[in-house]
Amino acid sequence: MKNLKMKSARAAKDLSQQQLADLCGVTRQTISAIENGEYNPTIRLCLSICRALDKTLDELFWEN
Amino acid sequence: MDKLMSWAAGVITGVVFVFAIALLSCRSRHQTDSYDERQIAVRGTAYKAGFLTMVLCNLIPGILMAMLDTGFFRKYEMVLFIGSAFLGLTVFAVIAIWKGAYLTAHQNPVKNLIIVIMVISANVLAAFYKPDWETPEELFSSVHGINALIAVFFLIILAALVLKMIQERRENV
Repeated sequence: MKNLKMKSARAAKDLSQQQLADLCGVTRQTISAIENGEYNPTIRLCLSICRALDKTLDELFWEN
Repeated sequence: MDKLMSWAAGVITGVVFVFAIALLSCRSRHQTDSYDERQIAVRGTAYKAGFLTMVLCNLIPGILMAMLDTGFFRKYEMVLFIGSAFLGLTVFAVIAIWKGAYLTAHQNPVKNLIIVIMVISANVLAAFYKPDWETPEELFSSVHGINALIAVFFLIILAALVLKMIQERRENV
């Protein structure tokens, strides 16, 4: 399932996928895969993404 | 014997040369230049596929040689078995490249392209410079056939790298 919350949070911070990837220490393809629902990140990477986007785990990764 | 020694010397020179280039190109300013978690998972899948390919390419001709006992596979035995290792490597590389798990986040793809082009050039030179073969059958039943096969496999890897770079440029726009 696509992670639209993460995509919109990234857009709100005006970050490209590459920029977010650099902040989290992963590749752009990994960020793209997470946003497209093709890859489930570990909790460590989820936390790294949340810190980069100033959001909580619930706000980005909890399914409603 | 002289030909075999010169071939062996060429292989060793080629390996040392490529290794030296790879060492030089792997120097990175970034201290944490490793594969991320998704890439590690993809590379695991790619290793499995490459290994399975290599095993099957060794097993099937081996079984056929034992069962049929014709001269066909015996003639190309060396190329088949060594070529199967490089085919497995190619399968691994193409899967890893296509799923974005071949290069780390900070590796320069152009440097890898240059290394692959150098490997192709060295093997094309080895296969076709002063050839002692005249037909494709003679080529693939000699040691030069291995060089020709390696050149073909690395051409496939080069194509995958180039296509991936084009795709990445489009997605980054």
